[in-house]
Amino acid sequence: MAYWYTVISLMCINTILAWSVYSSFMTGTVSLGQAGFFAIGAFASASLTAIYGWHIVPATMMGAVAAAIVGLAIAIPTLRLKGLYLTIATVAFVEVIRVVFHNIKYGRDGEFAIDASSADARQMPWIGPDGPLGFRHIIYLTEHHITPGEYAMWLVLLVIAFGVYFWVLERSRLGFAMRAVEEDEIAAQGVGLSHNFLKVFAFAIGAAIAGVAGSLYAHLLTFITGDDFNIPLTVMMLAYVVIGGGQTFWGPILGALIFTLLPEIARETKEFRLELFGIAMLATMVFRQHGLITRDMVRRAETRIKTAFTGRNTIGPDEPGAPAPNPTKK
Amino acid sequence: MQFDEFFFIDLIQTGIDGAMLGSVYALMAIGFALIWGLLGILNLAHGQTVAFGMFAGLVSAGHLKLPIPISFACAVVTGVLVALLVERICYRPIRRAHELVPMIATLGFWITTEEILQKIYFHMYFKDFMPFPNPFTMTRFTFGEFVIRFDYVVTMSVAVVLVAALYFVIYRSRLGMALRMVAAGHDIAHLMGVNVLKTLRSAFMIAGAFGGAAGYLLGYVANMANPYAGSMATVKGLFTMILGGAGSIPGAIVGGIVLGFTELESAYLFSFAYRDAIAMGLLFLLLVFRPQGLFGTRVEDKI
Repeated sequence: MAYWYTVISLMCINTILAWSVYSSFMTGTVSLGQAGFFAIGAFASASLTAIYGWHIVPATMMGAVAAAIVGLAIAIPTLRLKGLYLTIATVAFVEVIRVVFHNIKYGRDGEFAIDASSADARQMPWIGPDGPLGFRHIIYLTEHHITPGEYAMWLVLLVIAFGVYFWVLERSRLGFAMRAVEEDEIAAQGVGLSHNFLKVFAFAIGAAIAGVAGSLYAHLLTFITGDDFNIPLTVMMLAYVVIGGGQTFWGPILGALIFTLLPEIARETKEFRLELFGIAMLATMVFRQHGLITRDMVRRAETRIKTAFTGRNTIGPDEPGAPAPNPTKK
Repeated sequence: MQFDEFFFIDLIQTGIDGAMLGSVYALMAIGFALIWGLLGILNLAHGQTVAFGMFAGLVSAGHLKLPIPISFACAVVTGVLVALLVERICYRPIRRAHELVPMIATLGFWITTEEILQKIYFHMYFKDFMPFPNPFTMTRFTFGEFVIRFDYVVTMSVAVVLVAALYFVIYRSRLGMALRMVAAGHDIAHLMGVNVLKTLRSAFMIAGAFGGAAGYLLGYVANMANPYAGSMATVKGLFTMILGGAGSIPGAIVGGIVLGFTELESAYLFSFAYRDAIAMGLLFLLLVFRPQGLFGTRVEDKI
């Protein structure tokens, strides 16, 4: 059972990561730098809990703040770049962060977990990132007797909270402004929207969300190294959004869920699971170019739910999802 | 590192080695630059042409004991075949979609083929990483204080010949004219009577040939054939292309040499562990101040 709790936790973390990409995706900014923010959040919050003994909630918040500050520092100069040029500039950032965390060493000596005189206790554990050996002994969850089930439950609640944020955002003036910037920057500027503010804001929020995910990931796995946060991972996060569908916030959830579950379910096929994974990705892109969930599908489903509750048809005749006109009725 | 009488000699020696290594990076980046310049997509599967080219070179030269020119040709042909597969699966069916869609499709191709290659490598042929056949391992030239490895010279010469051939094709042939037309715009090229799809297929084939050749030369220089070389080649080739300017072929060449030079010099001057971080940090700074890269055409600025 603990195995499935961990899978659920990973699904939640990947959903949050997909949303962190989606946040700037809403303004038309395709970021491939999320693995860098993920790493910053992970190392910052794990340092606070493991080295300084903080509670996990403020540590996660600090991780998010650190990621957001770096995100701002990255966003302000690079958002002058257009289109995929920005995307490839952010890839370079991931590589810098990866190598820095691969080599950094700070922290303190840990306590002996077992009797100091026994043979196994010759070496003191090093609490903190230890160069290429990685950051080990992030034992907050075991120290505070948080079971995998409880942790998974908190993560699900957090995912719901972020979902509510995006649900509200997509229906707010801010969300519409972001979508306007995505459609056409000049037109958005013409109607008085500050496209630079919107893009930087969305990027920083995305960075903060990735920082939260990083903290959750570090405490779940208890061991992180700089090499975890590599370029395949950062492309994977973008893949969740593109495969699930980048038009609504439902798409990233589906993308993250499918592509976290698929390798676990395909565990039966043992060594061929990564091939299956790649082929599934390829096939999705070839057969559903707008992603699995499109805006029209969401709108249709919402209308159907609304109709079921209120008993009347709220959709206009020209909108997608409208029922076919009934020729027998006059 | 210490400041003694050998400091400058070692500095220059490192620079020469870096520039030579960079010529392989340049070959990897040319494939990226061609596809980006013509299609505006990131072909993440390009590294796989490198990996398969290296593998074909290893099998033909090391396993079947074919002579070097034939095994080099095998590597190039394998690269072309992989690139054609990429074009057929990841580009042709979805060319009208958003530019990210082919990119994610090539990511799927990358993951799948890397796993398949790794299985072929370890289950069918070899038990472990194999040394790449290299008859010139210990051959070297000495110019006064400096030493130049002969395999670097071969690599550099092959790279120069390939680039010259590419320039000949682009500026002196009908195909090259069509390629330049397509780079200017697909619709206009179509109106002018260019068969756009056929031209793009040729572009993928050229990119694949460069990938296969880069794979062979990379195995040759590193003296090891590695089934995971595709990922490394994707990352390095991508950065080289970004450094030189996305879509620019002279940029890819200069970018490769600059990247190789920077990596080895920073490993020598600062620390080996941080060599990638220094190179990438410089690249990031460059992008902030000069987003189009060293040789890129000006990024279209709308406002």
